[in-house]
Amino acid sequence: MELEATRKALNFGSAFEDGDAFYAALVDAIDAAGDDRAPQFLARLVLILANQIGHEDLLEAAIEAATEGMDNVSASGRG
Amino acid sequence: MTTVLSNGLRKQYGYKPSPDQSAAKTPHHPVVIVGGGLVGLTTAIEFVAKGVPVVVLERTNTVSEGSRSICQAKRTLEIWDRLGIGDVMVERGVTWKTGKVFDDDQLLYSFDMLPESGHKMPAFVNLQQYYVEEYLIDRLVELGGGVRWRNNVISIEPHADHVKLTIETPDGPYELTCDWLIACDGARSGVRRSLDLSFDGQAFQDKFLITDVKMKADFPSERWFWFEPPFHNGQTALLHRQADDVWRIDLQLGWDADSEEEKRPERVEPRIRAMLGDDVDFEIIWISVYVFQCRTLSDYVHGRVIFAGDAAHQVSPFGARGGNAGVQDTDNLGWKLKLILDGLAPSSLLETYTDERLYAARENLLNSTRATDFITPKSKTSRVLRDETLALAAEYGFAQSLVNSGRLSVPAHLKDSTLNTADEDHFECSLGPGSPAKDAPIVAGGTPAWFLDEIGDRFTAIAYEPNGANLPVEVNVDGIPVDVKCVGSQHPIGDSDDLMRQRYDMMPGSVYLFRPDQHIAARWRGFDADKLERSVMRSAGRGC
Repeated sequence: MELEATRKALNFGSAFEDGDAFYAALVDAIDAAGDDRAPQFLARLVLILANQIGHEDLLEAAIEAATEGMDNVSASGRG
Repeated sequence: MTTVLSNGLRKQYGYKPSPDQSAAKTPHHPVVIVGGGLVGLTTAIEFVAKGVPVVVLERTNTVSEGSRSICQAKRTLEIWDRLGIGDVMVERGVTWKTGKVFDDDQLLYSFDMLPESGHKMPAFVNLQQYYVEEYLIDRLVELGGGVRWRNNVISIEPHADHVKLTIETPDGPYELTCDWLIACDGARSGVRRSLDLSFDGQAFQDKFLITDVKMKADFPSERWFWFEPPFHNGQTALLHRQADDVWRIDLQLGWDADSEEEKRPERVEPRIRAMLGDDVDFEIIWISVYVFQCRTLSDYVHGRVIFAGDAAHQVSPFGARGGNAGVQDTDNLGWKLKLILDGLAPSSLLETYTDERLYAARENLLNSTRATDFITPKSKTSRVLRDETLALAAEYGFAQSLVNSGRLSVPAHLKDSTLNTADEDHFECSLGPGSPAKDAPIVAGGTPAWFLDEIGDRFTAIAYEPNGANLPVEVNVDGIPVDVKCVGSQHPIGDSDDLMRQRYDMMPGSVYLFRPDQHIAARWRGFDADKLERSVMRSAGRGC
């Protein structure tokens, strides 16, 4: 129940002022790292971002939200 | 790279020798336009309407062979309306404002391009480029101009104060000279090549099949975009309705596709059949395979040679930013070159044509590059990022906002232009110096009308409920005429829906100065003739 309440506190609406600029910057960094090193880059990025959020309960809820639905269509299974 | 299966819809024109070809002395013209396409024709109308005779040289004898630039955006329609052909484009085209984005067979979200009412022109009209060009030619002829068909420029000799051209025709070559040459000869511009100018940018590692299909179908008049549709495995698809039951279907093919093979009708037919189903009768009338590119010149003016449209900058089509940018180039160039030709502005004013249109081009390039990168990810990991963005978008608004199938063309707000007068008074609205004017319903002389019809072609000052003062109806700023128009209950123009006040944050006494291309040059909370004069001079490139 507690997790569910926290889940409701997660913002799933858009908080971006310029989402396209963020997305482009992220893709540029991923492509610059290359597929071999991209997981390393993404791991580092997640840790830095998690520290900005700082609330363990929110982070747990985010982890759960990201895990959900992963079985539906896996990225590698598309196209 | 095209297969034309039926050209019954596009008009052909005949070559006619011009008197220039048998002139004893090399003929001279103030303005020559190379290229009689969408941008060249709009440029020609712009000048002829302003009383400047132009020569239009076109290599072929026909309008565009396929539908090509189909999405005519609101700002483009407003410019054509100023030139007297807005209504026909809207009447003949298919008006739309809703876009839908699908992932597989699931609707991810839809968007509205013009959420507010009170504009004369719609957000978008889909009209095949061959029709657009036909109506532009009709208008040009109506104004006393014309096109020299099958006139192919084979050499260009730039000089300090003129350009000399050699032109190949069915009757052999001839020469002419001009004060200004405007290159509107498209992405593969011969003029640009002959000046050996670098055209920097990138080609995307992907190929797209572009087709026109004639059929009776009951899809709504909306832009539909699919990521990984069930009928086209692992790729994207785009569907647009055009005039006369012609539909535009774009299918992503991937970099490894064989362009020649993919253009064969036997190859295309099953792809379209898979999309439309077995019970739809259709006829494929145009097939083309494109590799998209995003490039621009770094300067659009080289001595007496000026570049506009795809000859100056090329974008991928996601967002309809090619043809629309070209028409807006023309809008920016027309009044500036006219002032220069009339001796009312220094030729350095053209530097601001590059500045302002390069600013707009960079915005267009950025947007269309980002859309293309989203549609064609460059690595396995960025592909995973893209696919998971789509997966999350089905549920979450933040992910929807990141899905990019093209951010559709809107005009640039030229906020950094040196032609603007910086605000000294406070205004609360989305518009500022450099912004294109926003339309609004008004009453003019007792009948409903549109605000944009009141401005344009000349500098115009709009005074809102001027307090008591008797304003002149025209001011002459060292040869440059400026119309002064008053809005208010006691004046010829009425703000019937209160939308001028809202959109421009008007208060009694407020004054806006518009350039001849309907961009805001300056604004104040009160009328001051000296300030108005200084701002006009500044916008004409004569400020200090």
